[in-house]
Amino acid sequence: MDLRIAEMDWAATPLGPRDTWSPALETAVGICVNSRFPMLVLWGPEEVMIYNDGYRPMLQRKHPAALGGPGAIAWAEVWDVIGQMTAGVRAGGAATWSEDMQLFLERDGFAQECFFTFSMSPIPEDGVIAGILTTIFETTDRVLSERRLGLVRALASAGSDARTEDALFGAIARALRAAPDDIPFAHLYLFDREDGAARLALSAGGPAGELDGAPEAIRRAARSRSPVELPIPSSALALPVRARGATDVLGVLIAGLNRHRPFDRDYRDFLDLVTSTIASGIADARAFEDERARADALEALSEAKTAFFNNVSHEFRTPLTLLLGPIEDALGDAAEPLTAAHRERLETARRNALRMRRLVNSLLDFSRSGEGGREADWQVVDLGSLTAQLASTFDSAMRSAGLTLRVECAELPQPAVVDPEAWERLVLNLVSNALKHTWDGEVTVQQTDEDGEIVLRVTDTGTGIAAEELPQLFERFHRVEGSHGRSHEGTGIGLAIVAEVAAQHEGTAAVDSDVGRGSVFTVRIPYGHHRVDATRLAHPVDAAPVLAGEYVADTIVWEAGDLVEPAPLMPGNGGAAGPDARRPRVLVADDNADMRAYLVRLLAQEFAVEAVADGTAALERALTDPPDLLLTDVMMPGLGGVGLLTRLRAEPSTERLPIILLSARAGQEASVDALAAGADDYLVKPFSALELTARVRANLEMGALRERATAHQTALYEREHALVEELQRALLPDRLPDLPDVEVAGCYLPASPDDAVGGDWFDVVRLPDERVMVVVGDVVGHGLRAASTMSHLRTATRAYASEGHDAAGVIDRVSSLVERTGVGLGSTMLLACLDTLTGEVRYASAGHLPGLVARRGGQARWLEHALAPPLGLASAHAARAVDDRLDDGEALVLFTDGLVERRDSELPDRLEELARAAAGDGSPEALLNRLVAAMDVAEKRGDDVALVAVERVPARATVELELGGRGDDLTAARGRLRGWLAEAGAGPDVSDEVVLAVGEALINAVEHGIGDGEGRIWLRGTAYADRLRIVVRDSGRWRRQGPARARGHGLRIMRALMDEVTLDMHADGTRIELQRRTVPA
Amino acid sequence: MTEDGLVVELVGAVTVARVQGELDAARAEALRAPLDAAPGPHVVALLIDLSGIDYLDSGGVHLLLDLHRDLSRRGFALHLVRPQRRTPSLVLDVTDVGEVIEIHPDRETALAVMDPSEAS
Repeated sequence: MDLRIAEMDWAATPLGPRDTWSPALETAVGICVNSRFPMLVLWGPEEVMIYNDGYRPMLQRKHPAALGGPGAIAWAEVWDVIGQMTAGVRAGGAATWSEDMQLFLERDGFAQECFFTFSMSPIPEDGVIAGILTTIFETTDRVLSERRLGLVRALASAGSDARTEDALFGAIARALRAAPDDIPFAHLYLFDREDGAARLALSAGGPAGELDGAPEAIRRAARSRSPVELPIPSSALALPVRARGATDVLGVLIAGLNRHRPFDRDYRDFLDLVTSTIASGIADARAFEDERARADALEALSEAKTAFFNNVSHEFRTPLTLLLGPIEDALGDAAEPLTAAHRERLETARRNALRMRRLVNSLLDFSRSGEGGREADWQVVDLGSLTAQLASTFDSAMRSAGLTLRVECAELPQPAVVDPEAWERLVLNLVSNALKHTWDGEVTVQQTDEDGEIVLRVTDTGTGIAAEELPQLFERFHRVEGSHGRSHEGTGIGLAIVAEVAAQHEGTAAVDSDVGRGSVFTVRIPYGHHRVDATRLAHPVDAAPVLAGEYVADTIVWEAGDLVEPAPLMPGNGGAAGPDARRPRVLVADDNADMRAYLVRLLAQEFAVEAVADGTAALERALTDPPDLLLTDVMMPGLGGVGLLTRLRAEPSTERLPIILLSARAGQEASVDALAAGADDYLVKPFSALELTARVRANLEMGALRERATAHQTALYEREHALVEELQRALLPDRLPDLPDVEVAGCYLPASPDDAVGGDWFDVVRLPDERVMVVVGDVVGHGLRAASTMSHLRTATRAYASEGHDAAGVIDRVSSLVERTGVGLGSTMLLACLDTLTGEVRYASAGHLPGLVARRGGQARWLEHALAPPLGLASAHAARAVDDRLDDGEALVLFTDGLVERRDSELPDRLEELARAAAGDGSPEALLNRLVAAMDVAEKRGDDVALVAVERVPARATVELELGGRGDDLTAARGRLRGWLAEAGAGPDVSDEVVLAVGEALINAVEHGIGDGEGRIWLRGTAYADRLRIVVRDSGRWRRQGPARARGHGLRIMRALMDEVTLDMHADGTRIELQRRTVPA
Repeated sequence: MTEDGLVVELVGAVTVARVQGELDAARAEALRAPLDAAPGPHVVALLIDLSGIDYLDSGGVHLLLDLHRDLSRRGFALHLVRPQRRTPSLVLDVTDVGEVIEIHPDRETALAVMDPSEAS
């Protein structure tokens, strides 16, 4: 640009020939052209444009026509905004600072949405504002990526919050409407899951159906699985909606495009992310809906089942009776006796028909008693005889079970008035209950008269019942938890019936039991003579047992078949029940061997079942080899079902394992408890085999569904995370400056791998006056907002520091910026400026923890006494600068509170710990590693950590020259430089190039810095281990001398030959810093 | 280091000025007048032969560009012979002098282009 500016025929512009330019204009142009930041000078009332190379890309094809022309013409499309701002600056004279300003620039033939952060500084001349110097950065990429990420996040959170598709669509539409910039309108069509037709699910930003060619585009997009453009004039795409990596196209999103942005790769990626996020949301919502539909179905099933039981018992009795009648007839037919084979078959049929009738009767009794009790049929009976007969019917069943049955029914002194059928039920329930729970020994049925009452005692030597179970024993549906019974079939209402019958007879039922020794059930009833006319008492009826056959038949069935089958697995020995690995694996935990065997038998037909005897074994198995489902009893010794559940939910490998709890406790409350504990389902004993397998199946499916939904979520999360990380990379300093005179190390540890973006930051910058600025800060909060705030603070800090303010000045200015904008309020920072030549440090703080000076092989010390309030909270000029000095071998360490703050330790202790850890040897990088290790922040920190360390590097060879302003001793100076370079060990080519570059710096000082030999020029060259650094300063104001001609050749030569060239112009002189590596990097 | 020197000769219709030694800003000021005056009445072009220079800085570059501007106004062409030494040659490239002034690898090539009749 400098050449072009030089060659330009300025006479034809409002600025006039270059010779006539004022010093102020020349200064402005010099600053502009020599800066590598994009800069623009707007000069004179016409606001003539002069700009540098950095600025050129913003003009695109407007260059070179824009050079020397009025800004209002080159930037006609935005001048209504910019012109106002420049007018303001020219009128008021105050500088402006605009962040991320949206401007629609004419680029590539259309008005493009662009964003810029820029400042406008007035350039005064003779008391008026003659021009404006603008420094401008295009922030389009960052703003767009933040804006687009914001929409994707909104969509993702819409997906994770919505419970139904409709709710999801509402949330998506809201998110889209709230961010119309990149998707001005959108119509989501989803393919019906049944008929495949595309149906409009939501519209945002305009009515659907007005777009020509939409149906065709939807078809093509779905078929090709790639975006299809809608015909002109719509600026829209039909985008297939599918989860990333999935093949299923769920639907098509018609997305309007931002007419002011090119459809580039970023845009395409963004739309891709939008559609896959929507797809994930839909998949999740559908999973939720399916889950709820299944839960609803289960509930309806349960209600229907109750109704069914209430009605069916009646319906069943008739056909059963009609079935039993002919069977009894056939068996009792003396005229045409059955053959042995036929008799055996019919006896089997009768036994099972009786058993069925008994079950039905029990249910009926139960529902009747629930409805207020059936009408009693009072009869006068010889109860001694009746009870003895009833008990004796169990004789053979007892024998085949290896038990002794004692029946001791004394003749009662008087007849009793009872409901024979109810009494029968009472006795049979008690005896069959004793039989079920007794494994060896005897069952005694004893009936006596005690104090004018009939007392029936059924004593067994069985498993016994725990004391805490006794109070509920006679409640309906109560089954003894973990009891060591023979059979777990049954209705679970037997003892309830006992209690109810006893009560019906104005008597009581009681139990006395010792675990392991047996139980005694005692029923006391009065004779009940008042229930009938006295005349009837003299004629007891012969009440033959009518139900006994059913009860005994029931016991025979399970004695013969149900229990002889051994449990496939012995308690606690683990191992798979079947080799079939494709079948879903179910782990059963129950301490009751019979229950376990029963469950295994039921489930083994469909699933690969493994059974363990207690919660501890179940936990171990589930963790070493997670099954597909766990079915566990609630009551188990040691680790119970709920405890097991809690432990498994805490482990990542089993946190989503479907778990069904089995319990004897019925009722809403119990299920709420179980579900609150994290169970997926809850089965109350007794339960049917069908119900069990159905629930297991449903929960397995649900588990698989949930796994898939979680996988979606995870994939979505990872994608978003990747995007955030990308943004983070753009925001944090990608690398620290490579400075010859200081060794620098910095590190940033995110709060957790899930939270890569935090608010902690650090920066190291070379300042114009030789010093190095080191800064660390902590922005309140985490995530994207914090990262963006951090970026603003960092930029502002850099800007103020390069303006030459000292540590306190920078902090005061950043603080007042924060106060004005509210961005970053309450954030803290610590800033230190290090003079690498002298080691002097000047630092200031805004509410930040003190810095640490570590000394190689010595005691560390703190940089204190600089505390001021956090940013934006201080009164003006609250920051205090404190001076210190960094000696050789001392490193300055700045850090954020995440390094030292810890819930379990006091801050002073942690700071002391840090100071101790700082003692030792090694580079700044080794020092940081040591500190991080010693402070034990590698894992589980709650906060992110930023830390940075700097140490001065000693010099090998130096040269210092002071020259007069005329430039007549440049040849001699080059000679001195050659000598210094030889001493530093530079080769001939390097030497030639460095001498040339430094020569250019000196020429620059002579030509621009000094007025006719009155000023001075200082040169300092320092050779460090692997590089050379030369600084040339002059004492004059930057001014142009000699004829108008190409400027900047010198700068260009310096840049070509040196690794780094920094040029700073200040009121008190110009400074050029050159750096060159002496060994290939 | 070569002694500073300037040798001007006429080859056909081309004036050839051979510069030796260091061409820095101070030397450039000294050379400006002689080089400006070098093309005589029967000459169409000036060739500055830089093959023997040890040092070239922006001052020298400015001289070359100024000469180019002045000579073209007067109807003369200016061509250069590239310095053989690495660093000054690099300076010509870095400053894009070649975009304005034609640079040749050696004197013969330059003359062949500038005055074909003479070179053959």
